[in-house]
Amino acid sequence: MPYTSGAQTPFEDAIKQLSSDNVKGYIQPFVNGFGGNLNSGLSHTAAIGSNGVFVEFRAVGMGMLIGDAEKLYKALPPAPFPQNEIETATVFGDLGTVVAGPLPGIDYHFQNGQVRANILPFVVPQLTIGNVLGTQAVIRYAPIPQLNDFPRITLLGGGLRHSVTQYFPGLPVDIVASAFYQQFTVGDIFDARGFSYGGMMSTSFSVLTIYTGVQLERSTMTLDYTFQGDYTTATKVHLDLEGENRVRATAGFGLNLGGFLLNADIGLGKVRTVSSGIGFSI
Amino acid sequence: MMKIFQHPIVAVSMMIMCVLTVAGCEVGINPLIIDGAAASDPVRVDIDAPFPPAILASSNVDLDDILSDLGNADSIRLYNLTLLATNTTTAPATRVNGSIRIRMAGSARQDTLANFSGLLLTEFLTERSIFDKTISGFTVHPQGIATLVLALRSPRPLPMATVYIDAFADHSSLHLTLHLKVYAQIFTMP
Repeated sequence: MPYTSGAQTPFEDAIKQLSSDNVKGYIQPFVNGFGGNLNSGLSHTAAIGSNGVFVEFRAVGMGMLIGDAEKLYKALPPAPFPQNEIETATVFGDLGTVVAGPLPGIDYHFQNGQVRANILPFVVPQLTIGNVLGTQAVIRYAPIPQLNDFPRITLLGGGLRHSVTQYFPGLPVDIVASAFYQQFTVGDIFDARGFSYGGMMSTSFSVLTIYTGVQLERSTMTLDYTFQGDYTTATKVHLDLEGENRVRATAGFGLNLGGFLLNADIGLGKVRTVSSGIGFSI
Repeated sequence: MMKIFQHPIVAVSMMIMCVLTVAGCEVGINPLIIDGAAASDPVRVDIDAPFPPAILASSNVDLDDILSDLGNADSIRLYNLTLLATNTTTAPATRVNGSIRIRMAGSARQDTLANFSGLLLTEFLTERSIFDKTISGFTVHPQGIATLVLALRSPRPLPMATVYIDAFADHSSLHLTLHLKVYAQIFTMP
């Protein structure tokens, strides 16, 4: 059975060589990272006017911090190798573990890591429009073409932010409730979705805004590929992977310099993310 | 306007943005491992007992099939060798004896890959690794495996291998098609 997937990127090829049981561990940090990124950087202030024209455009950069925990996972080698769990490299790891075979010259190499980074970055444009009854709509759209060996990414998402402060006049801080849904595809074999909802409060001192918030989130990634690795027929694999980040606390600050916006924050949960935005509002 | 960027907080924000944007996500840092396989041409075995007492059949395996159209292979390593019996009308309880040998193109030497004695035919009605130690009556020979391992390390194009199978059944006719398959991992250049 010849190898026929040369048109894919190395990243996708690496995944295709893993059985469905092992692919989850190999790719899980990537799922966590993209899910974590996807649900990052959505807000940088809880202040929303009740009515009036508001347009804000920002470029939002975000990234999951990649530590040792994201670089290793446990996997089983294929038969006839001993069916003992082996710790080996994830997609963010280094060289895959080698399992000795029954005779000299026969061994099994787990897939090598394919991405070296301390942070998994992602940048998206974000448009916020409002305000109607203290509500803003947030739209994200990012068609990113294939760059070198990294597959193309298409992101489309939207959400609503609603001012809670307007119901409690006199509060010393602004409070907003929000919900966002996003969907993206990566290459030919990934389809991912993210959903988050939560609350944020902020307070401003002149041009400086300090904000903090908590959100519940969910991210899923679906993989469809043909596993070429073993025995007589190619096996079609369908995988539903779920990001491990469910709750996130965020803290950050922003600057509004006459409509020119800057912000940076950190998100803490199962995965650690940082995000920063730059843009303008009218 | 440019003075804005000299403010420490703005500078830090810009720095974070820059880090996120250009932080090196190097992709393809290590050799990619691709699985490949090469199958023998089917070997048809038809023996009507009691004659002839044994058969000798041969089949070619083009080891270069492992690489297919993969152009940037750095090295190839064997990780499995399997046998499969199909189209059999032989009684399932039939036990077979014999050997599998291999010869590389350009060499006159045949090396034994495996011997089998009292092997139940049913063991290979599904594809099984010849290294599976739970198969009773089947013995793998390191010399034959070493010959195959060495062949996979030779320069491209990889050689054609000829597989010889001799077999006979106890007290029964033997009708089946045998398939031998070589599984390897191909290491591409990073």
